[in-house]
Amino acid sequence: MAFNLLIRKYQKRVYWLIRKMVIDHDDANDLSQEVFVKIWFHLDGFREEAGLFTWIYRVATNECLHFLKKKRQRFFLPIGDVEGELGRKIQMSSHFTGDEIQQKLQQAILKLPDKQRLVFNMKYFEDLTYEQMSEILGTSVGALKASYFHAVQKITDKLEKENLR
Amino acid sequence: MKAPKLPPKSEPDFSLPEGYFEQFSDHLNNRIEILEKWKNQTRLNPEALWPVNSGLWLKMEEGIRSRIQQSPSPVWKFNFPSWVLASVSCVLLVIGFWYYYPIRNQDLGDWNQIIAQSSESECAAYLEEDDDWVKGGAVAIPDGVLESVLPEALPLEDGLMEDLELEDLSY
Repeated sequence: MAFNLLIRKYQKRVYWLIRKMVIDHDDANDLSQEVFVKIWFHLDGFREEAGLFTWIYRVATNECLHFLKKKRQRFFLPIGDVEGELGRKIQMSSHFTGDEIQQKLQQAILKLPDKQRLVFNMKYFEDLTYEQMSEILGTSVGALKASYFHAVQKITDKLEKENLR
Repeated sequence: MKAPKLPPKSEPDFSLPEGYFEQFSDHLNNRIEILEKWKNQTRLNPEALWPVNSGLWLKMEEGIRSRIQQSPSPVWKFNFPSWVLASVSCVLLVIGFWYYYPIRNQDLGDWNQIIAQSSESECAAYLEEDDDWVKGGAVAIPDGVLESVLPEALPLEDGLMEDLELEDLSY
């Protein structure tokens, strides 16, 4: 079945994109499945002019941002509290095998606003081009470059403060 | 007048702190190690940071399949032709208007014109009928009932008058 092939081809990338945003494995697993269910039901509406990969990524990023927003609204949490909670998950998770430096990097990334974090993750970890990111996020290349630049600056500042550079 | 003699040029100091090259080498190695770890091991390979069970991907695939089977297909929402919904709404509006229009028309009738067209006897008969209807609707109260319900002297009034002084009533 063609859809099974599609799942096998993209599930890892979708999962890791989501995992880096929501940190928790169960949430990431649940959201990844939800993304593919949505894709299945909306395949008819898929427009050929957008690449399938771009479209899947767009659905995944929207799900991520919606999930984080809902989480804040449900618990009336300010942005800082969600970061704190995600940071604690990194620290306490037995699934995280990174050393102290990697933990600090992840904590610094978590300090970024959601959309900037998404841009940073896509560029730094996924190695996507600005053009691909522009198609996925519906933002101009210039704005994405500026966003990535600011994200790197913030992370560098944070790590410098902690004497990790 | 002779120009003053310049002091002799001091020799540039090229001396380095002790163990400088060893420290430099250690520092460089440390930076390279960090960069290697970040770039090669974890940057493009998240599983190095967050290891997952090997069976995760198969389980996820099964999960997606079962969710698709369980969830009611939302296709009808999108495939139901919108022109059918629009037509049904229009028909309901027309029926509603057609049903209620006569009543509205009756309510808003021109009474002056109706009275002008009616004869005096018709008007008188109508008024008499209307008067009977009003009288018929009123409840007749038998004699003595009100007196039995209400006390002869109202204690409240007496009490009120006792408490009030003449000064209270004047301004």
